[in-house]
Amino acid sequence: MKPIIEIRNLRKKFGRTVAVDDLTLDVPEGQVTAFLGPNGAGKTTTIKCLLNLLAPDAGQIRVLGAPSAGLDSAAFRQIGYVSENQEMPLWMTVRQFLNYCRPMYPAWDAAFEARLLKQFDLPPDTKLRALSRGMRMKAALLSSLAYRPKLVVLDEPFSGLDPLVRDEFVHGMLEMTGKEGWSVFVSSHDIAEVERLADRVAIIHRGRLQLDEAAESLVARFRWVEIVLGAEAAPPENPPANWLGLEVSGRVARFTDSRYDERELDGAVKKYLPAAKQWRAQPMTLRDIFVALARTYRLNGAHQPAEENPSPAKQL
Amino acid sequence: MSLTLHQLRNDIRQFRMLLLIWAAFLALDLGTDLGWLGKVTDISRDRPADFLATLLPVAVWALLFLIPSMVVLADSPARREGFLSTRPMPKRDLWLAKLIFIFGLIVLPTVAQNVVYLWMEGLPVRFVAQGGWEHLLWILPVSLCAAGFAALWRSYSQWAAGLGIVLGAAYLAAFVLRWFQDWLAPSGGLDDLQGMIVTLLTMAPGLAVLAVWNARQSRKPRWRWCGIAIVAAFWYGACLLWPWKHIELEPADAAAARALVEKTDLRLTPRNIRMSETSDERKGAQIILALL
Repeated sequence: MKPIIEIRNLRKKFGRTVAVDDLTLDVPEGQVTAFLGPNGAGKTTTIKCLLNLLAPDAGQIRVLGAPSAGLDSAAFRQIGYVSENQEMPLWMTVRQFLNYCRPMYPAWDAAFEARLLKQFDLPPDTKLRALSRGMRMKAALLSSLAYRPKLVVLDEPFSGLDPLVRDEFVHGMLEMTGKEGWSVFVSSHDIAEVERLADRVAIIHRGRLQLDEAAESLVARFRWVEIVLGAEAAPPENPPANWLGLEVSGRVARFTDSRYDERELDGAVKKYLPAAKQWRAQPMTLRDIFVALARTYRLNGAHQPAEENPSPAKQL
Repeated sequence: MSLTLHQLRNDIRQFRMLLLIWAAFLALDLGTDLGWLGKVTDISRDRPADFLATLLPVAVWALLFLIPSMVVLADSPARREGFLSTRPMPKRDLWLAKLIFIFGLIVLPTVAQNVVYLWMEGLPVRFVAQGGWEHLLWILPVSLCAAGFAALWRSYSQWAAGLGIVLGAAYLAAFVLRWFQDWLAPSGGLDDLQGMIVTLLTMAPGLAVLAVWNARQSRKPRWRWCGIAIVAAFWYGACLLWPWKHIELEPADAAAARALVEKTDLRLTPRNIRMSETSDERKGAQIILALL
């Protein structure tokens, strides 16, 4: 599928800290791509670079087929952007805000706007300043969707929202992306919410892309494995690389298998843990996968500052 | 063009309170100058100054700097997360709207106020037109300089800090330069060119601070605005140096005029580009008007 965002070898430094390091990523058209990572991983910096809000130190970015450095008004008519850090004209009422945005977009759909206004339950005559954070995010989202953009970029859209609003937000996005066929690039550290949306998952850690894969195949290849041992045993010295976070506690061994195959796992268990009596492999949620991966990345590079970390991006 | 007008309408709505205050101050200033709001005494003759008459020109000049700064800061190009950074508002339309706002609602009303004042004082049309033109040459660079300077900063607090640094550095430099005044102008007093050089020298530390601060920012286009601010500053300097024929209200008979001035307490606020010579021109205006 043709990528709507192409990032090649992106690098961005702030002083001595490398925020994004050699990041290469394609965001396919017509899909929801979740861009995940812990706080400070480089998600927001990447998004700012791709929207030309920050100038990259190296690398190329193409958005909607054009270099991001040249994003102009015509391009922004096809991009909807909502960020937790985005400033809004707080002195306006919701109605004034929409009236202000409308003339900028020739494709603005007034009927769609009215429908979203109702769906998001936004009070039109209340000032944005007086709205809660969640309501303000909904107003920003409304103003970014009413012209049916080709690309929707959401930077931590769930931050600070209460569960009810989050649910409405996700529900609304799901419904609309399904209907409209939008390409959505959503960054978050709130995996549980993104799980319902994502067709594809990219994980960034310490500025480096660690994983980029279809959500379905990711969930299919990860398993939480628990092994009951016949006798207490020490963990194997060189376990397979796909056994993440192996722990042996008493007569139980636990790990995350990142390349699950029933037959291969059975053979590996017999080879590396001969005392194994029985094992079971459970499917994992995206959140569990993310936590297992984040823990592994942290263990691998806990003592190495980002600028000194020599390891290349790896596909676990 | 429609987006320009759209943005202009939006700016007017956003700053409507400030514009109302601005209009009120202009009207009060005009009323005070024309003597409608009480008799104003002459400060130069050590008489108690009228509080309103002293405060109003300061407030008008402060607003003349402040309002263009506020209008630009509302959509500062230096702000990364500004609302319009990711919206399809062409920069041309945005800045044209800001310029129309500054010129149409700040500069022109000030010039108009000056023209009305000169006309109401009964000056000949030639003087009224010349006075208005000279006032425009003074007001426009100040407003544009304020706008250009504001465009360098991301937020109101940064702008205030930047302004404080520039003014503080200028004051400090001026204080130091006073030590060298005898060496710079042994005959006492600086001529226009020396004054300009000293002004630029006093601005240098502030500009250096600005340059260093800007060099550390990641958005390169800000240099463009730095350039605009510097060009505006030079324009301002050029206006000061240019040999304009100011409204020289020189008396035909100086002695008779002086005698007339002594008889009256009326003070006419100077409407001239050469603000440093206000007291002389004030006297000159009083004299010529008395003679007319």
